[in-house]
Amino acid sequence: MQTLKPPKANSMRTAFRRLRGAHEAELFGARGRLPRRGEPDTNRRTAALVLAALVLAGLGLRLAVTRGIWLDEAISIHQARLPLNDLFRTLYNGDRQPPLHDLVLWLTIRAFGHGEFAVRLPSLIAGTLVIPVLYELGRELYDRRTGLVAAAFAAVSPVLIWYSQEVRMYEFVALFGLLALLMQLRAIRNGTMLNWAGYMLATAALLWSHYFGLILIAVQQLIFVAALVHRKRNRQPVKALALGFAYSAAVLVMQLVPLLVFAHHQYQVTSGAAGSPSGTYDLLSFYSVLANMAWALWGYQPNATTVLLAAMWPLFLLGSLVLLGRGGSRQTMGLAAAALTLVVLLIVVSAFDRSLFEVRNFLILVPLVLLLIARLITGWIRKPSARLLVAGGVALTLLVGLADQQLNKGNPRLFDFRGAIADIKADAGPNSLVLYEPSDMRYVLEYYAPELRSQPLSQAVSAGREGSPVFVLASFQSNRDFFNKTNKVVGQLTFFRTLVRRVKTPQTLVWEFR
Amino acid sequence: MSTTPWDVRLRRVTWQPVPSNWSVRRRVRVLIVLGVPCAVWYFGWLLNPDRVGTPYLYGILIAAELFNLMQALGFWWTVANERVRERRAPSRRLAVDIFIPVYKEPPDIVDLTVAAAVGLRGAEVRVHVLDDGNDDAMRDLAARYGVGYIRRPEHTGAKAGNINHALTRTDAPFIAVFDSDHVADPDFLEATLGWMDDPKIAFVQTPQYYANTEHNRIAAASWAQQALFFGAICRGKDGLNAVFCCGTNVLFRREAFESVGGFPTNSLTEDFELSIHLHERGWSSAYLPDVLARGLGPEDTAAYVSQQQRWARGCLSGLPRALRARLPLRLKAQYLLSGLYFLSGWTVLIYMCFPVVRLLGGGQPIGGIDAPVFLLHFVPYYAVALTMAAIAGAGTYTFAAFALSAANFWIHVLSTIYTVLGKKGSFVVTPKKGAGARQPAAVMPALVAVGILVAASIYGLARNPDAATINNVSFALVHVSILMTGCWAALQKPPAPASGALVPAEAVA
Repeated sequence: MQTLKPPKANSMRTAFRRLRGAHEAELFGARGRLPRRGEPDTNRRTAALVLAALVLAGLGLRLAVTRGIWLDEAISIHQARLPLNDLFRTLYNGDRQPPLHDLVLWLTIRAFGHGEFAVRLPSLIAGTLVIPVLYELGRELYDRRTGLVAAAFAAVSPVLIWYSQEVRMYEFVALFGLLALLMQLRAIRNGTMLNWAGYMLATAALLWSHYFGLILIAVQQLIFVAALVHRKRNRQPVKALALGFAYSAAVLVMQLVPLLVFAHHQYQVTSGAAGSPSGTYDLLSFYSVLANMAWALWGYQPNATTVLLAAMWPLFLLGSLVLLGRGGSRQTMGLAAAALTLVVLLIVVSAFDRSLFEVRNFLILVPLVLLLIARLITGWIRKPSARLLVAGGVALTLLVGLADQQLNKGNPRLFDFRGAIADIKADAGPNSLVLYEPSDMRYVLEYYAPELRSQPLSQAVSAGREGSPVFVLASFQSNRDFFNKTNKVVGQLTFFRTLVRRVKTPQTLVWEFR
Repeated sequence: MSTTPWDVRLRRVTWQPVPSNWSVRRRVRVLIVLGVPCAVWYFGWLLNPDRVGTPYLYGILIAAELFNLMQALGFWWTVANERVRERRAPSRRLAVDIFIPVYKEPPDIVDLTVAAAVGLRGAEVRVHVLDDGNDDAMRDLAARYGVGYIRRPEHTGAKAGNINHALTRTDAPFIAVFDSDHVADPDFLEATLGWMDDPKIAFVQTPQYYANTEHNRIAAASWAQQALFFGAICRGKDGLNAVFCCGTNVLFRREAFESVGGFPTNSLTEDFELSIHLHERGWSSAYLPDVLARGLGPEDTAAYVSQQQRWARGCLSGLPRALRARLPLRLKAQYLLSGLYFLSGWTVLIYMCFPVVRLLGGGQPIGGIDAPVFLLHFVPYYAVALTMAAIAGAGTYTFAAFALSAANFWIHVLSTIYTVLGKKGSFVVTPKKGAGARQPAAVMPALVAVGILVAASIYGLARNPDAATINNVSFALVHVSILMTGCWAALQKPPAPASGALVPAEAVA
């Protein structure tokens, strides 16, 4: 009779594990565990194939860009085209962001030029990498099935796609934030040098990408403390974890010193300047919270659609009731608590500058929420066909949101400067002058039409320009100051010149005077 | 190998009556510190005359909200006073009469109940089957186990009359009562009898645990409601010395029983009224939060409805008695809170009406405010109230339990009307086995409500699909989801009844 031998205990390995304090069923539970059903997980080969398909699909959707460069992007491109020394000086004296994204953009432009595709490449790569990294986080926390569902949602997530197409640092925050969480989880579970190094690198990248990264890092410190308390209570070894935590905290503090000096100077220099015109809401209100929640899931929709989505808030009451008695695994509770703490901290920060409460500033929350939704589906629904149906339904709503976001001209984040400038270029002669408002539009003009003569509306039009075409390029007209300035100049020009035509592209106006 | 199914009443208890690693009392008190300001914040805003939309709707909303506030504050007050008693063994050997009242229940269910009663330890046990159904099979069963069999010539006063009659035929100083489906643990008396050393205690109540929850939605949801009551609420009532008798799994002192003339026979909830009588006479009561008997919950919707109707009518008709009772204010408030709970179906009905009225072109209770302003005031109070239910229930109170209760809102409405009209109800024993068929008739009022909500939503959307309509349709959708969850079990073919044949005694966990 054939007998099965018990696996040999590797005493050295066991000893090392104990030394590191690793234990499969501690703080976040064992990897790959499906506590409710004990159902076998998706096999490794199928998971790899599905993930590859999802990454390709996600990349395809991210490559289908339907808009031009907008104001903030143009500023980043302008900075990245400067010599490295000037880039840092400009950032230091005139911006409010850490330098990592601009540095990567600087290298990209040196390597591939400054075409639209080239400048968007860093965000595109980061945004595509979010898909497999979220899968890995889902697998690490739960199982491959949950990882795949979350990755599928990330592949079609409208807001993640939007920022994969934007020449800004937001997608870096999503990627490095996820990596930081993944590496932290592994550092707690396995505690290898590689895990700790990965965690420290990811948090560093996050920190140097966006100051709001500090909020996630603060939440991560709380997770470390919770893990230590948990182990202490369960009389598990804490020394290795405590050492790793202390070391990583020291590395963090070492980075914070120069970064805070850098940030402090930036905020001092820019505090007197007018705020960015790119904020969508000036008020931190329940409506802005609801609107941002709707955007986080279904992407940027026209205001009318957002109002309708926000009107569905009673469904949250239903959601809260459905959660009654559900309990939830330690992983889910931990993830939900981390996400909730992030939101609370963001609200606190936004209370000081209310225009900061925007989905782009907490993009890291989007993949975490998608992972929680994925877990609800894989954890609660027992029948595979029903699970597929619900996951497919959720993905479908995301795709509908994506189509509307990308194609609907009423998208509040869509500014068609490219179209407006192309229109100006078509009619502009060598003596043409473009007057623009707000003043930062000069970077957009510099990108799309460096050959055109241009000046901000606030500067007086010289007499020598009489007779040649004058264009007024205006945007952000919902801002009272910008509107008044534009209105005044357009009124004056109408009095002295002939208005040939008025062109309107999404959130941009062009007047042509002869 | 035997294919006989295991009787679920012999399976391991899956409920922990007292959370092992944390104090409900402490957490609830912290939440109360948060909850009271949130309630003041919300009601301070809501009761401002500027909030009045359509006056009559506003008045109804205020009535419903104040009722809910009263129930919430009562619940918080109760659970914040929890007392956790330990088992207490008797100091001397005593005689205990065990009463098992039966009325036409299936003998295979009663069989195990009698067998378990015979096996009780810690006292001189005298088991009696009190047969009110003139069932010879019960007499044979009693004879087989060598226990007492009491059949009365006149069957008046239902279960109460049956027990009162048995009191005249027995004489042990203590009496334990088990419903026909409740299988006692051998150490029931060893755990409870010691508390009778206190001569002021009239009865010791223990949880009414349902063992058939694993494969039966109704029993599971019904148990989730029971678990909150026999968990945090009963522990809290014990802390306030306000535990009332629940009719089964309870140990009485005969002297106390006799001091009030036994069970009142003119009530549908004889145990509730008996407790008022005992407390009026100065007796106290105790609650031991330990599962010492396992029974069967209602296995289908009709059984659940029957049980809830009896409880609702009994408790509502007991309210005047509680109001008149010469009791300390604390005790009177506890009885009133328990009785008034059976008016909560009215609030469900009211909340369902609001979106319907609005969608059909009528007014709305609150006027001139934006949703964000409402949410800003309501959400903190709602969040604390919900968290309180989750924490007090230690995760046992589920959405299914809430939905089952909400879908049967009409029971409370109907019971109130019957009580006000003075219509007499009859004592109906909760069926111990499911009917094995779909029971849409049992949930017809809820299905009608669903139909009205859906029709109003379609009409509203067709008329004017603006944000206000979407908001009210969302509310209607919330109600429809809750009602359909509560009705779902009645619309599906139920699983086979959970109780089965006997299994060896050593299987008792």
